[in-house]
Amino acid sequence: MNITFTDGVLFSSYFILLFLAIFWLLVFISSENQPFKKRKLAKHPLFTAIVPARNEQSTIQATLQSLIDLDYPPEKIEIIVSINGSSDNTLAVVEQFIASYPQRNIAIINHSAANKAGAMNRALSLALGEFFACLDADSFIHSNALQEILPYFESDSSLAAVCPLMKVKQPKNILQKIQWYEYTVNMFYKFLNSKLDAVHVTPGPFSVYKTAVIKSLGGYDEQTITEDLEIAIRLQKHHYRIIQTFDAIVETSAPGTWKALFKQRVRWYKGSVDNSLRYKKLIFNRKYGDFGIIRMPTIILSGIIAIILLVTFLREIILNLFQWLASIKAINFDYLTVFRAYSFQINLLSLPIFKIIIALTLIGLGFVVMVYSYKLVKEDIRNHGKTLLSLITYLSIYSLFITLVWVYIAFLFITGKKNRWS
Amino acid sequence: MERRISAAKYLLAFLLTLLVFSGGIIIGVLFEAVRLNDSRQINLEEKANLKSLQLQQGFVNSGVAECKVLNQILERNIAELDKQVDLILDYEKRAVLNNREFNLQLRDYFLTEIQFLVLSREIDQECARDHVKVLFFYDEDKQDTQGRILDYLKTLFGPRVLIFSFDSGFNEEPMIKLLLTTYKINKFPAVVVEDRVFQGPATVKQLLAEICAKMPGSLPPEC
Repeated sequence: MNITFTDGVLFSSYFILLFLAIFWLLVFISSENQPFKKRKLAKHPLFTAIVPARNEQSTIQATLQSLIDLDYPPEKIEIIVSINGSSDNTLAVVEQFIASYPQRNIAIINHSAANKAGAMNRALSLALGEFFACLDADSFIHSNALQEILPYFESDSSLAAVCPLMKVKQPKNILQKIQWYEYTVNMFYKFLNSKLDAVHVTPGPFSVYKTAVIKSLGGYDEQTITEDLEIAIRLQKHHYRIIQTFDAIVETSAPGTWKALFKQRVRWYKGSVDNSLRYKKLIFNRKYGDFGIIRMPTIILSGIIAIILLVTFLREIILNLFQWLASIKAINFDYLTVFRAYSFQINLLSLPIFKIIIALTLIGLGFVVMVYSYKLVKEDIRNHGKTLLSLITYLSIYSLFITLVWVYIAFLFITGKKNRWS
Repeated sequence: MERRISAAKYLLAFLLTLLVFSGGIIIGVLFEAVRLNDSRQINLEEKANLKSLQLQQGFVNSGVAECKVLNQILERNIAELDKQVDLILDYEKRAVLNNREFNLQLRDYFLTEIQFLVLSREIDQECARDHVKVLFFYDEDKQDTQGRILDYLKTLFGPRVLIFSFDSGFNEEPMIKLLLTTYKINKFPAVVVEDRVFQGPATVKQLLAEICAKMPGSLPPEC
């Protein structure tokens, strides 16, 4: 039997994917490192909510309202709206909102920081809260968030950050519904990462941090395009703990067009690659436990495997296409004669059994992940309609789309070009 | 602060992955045994067809068997033979443990095919030929369209063209080398239409012209 280079590459990729899928399944069924039992918040420390905003006039009011509606003593919440370079009426909207809640502690800082990290650092320098969170101006927090999140800090002094459950807010089209699936599955993986103390990103919307810890580390890095991922890796580097909770929910708007989604994902994944390379000393480093051994390496590995599989897949399609075209040309394009004589026959013994077994195993594990993801976040997969079409698109076209994002990022690296959407 | 490493889980995941891969390999090996059996079955059936045709040829002179029926059976057997070669070749390529056995089956197949070729020439001497015989010598290591062209011509002419395909690089069977020497073939792919040899790729037009020139009896519409 001839084993080609392509087969070797494919089998290696399958082995790695299968290994990772089985490993995370073992983490899932393990009874170690179970999340601690919930309890009531004993104290009400001062909490700072930072709302970075640039041209958010249409959504910022609802965002601020969700903060006002938090189930927490109002005098223990300070809100800092950090506006950088808005050209719309964001400032006016916020001022009007403040006027309607004169008794609440809401401040505005207006500055010209280059990016969100800069906006947050400006606000952080003024923050008095023992804990703080950032809430993007297109995100909305559920009222029980602080009651659910803050007790974690009371029980663990090494805890530096707690991430909420993120959901897509009211998906309106198939693309947003696909992202809703994606966020749900990602939450499952965050849950598994949390069990291993290997959370690698504290998402922007309402991840709650210990203010003193972030300030001691120098605040957010204003040079990176993914400050939420960079701060999480930096926390891990300094051996702080980060956990994921599922009882505090934040809803965020998801891009509604493929172009907007592409730009977002290029920024996210490029940022993850940049930070992985920046913190490459953590990769496979035992000093950082499971975070170093498995989480850091797989940040880039997933992209590499996606590109390998796409290139292999495309190569096969292109080669077969050329052969087919050559065949049709050889018979003077008389495909009608060939079509009329064609009879579909399948010989089961000629099927690539080994590849089918691997593929079925991966699909089966993927199905298990999908089912448990929805159980974990207490959602019904049929919520928001268009289930079948969006599910099929998610499982097929979306994977290809994400792979194309990785291909573009690889292109940026190889050519040294800048990401024009950073 | 000492960070935890889930070494036991890594090891177990690795072993389970190996188990799945091994399971796939074992099932692949089991399938190989079934394929080998299928190859043997194919060869047995073709041999039975050959023997049957040989016996029927013996009855032609006594008038018990008709030439027309004999030619029809010959054409059907050759068409069936042609279909099965792809299967046996495919099995032989996938072989991991039983390379030798698959090679034997392939050799057996080619020998049966040559016997059919010899028999068809004997039948031609007793019955009026109503078809054109085409020998096709291909190179397994080359990607070309000659096979597709011959399939196309077979579709056009149906039972009026009989195609016998041989792997020119199959060194295990000396008879193939003998045929190559007989026709003085040293370039592949090569096609022999009755006695006319085309070395290197031949186009539809060239082969169509030659087939029509060699076609006995009434010319089909394709000519």
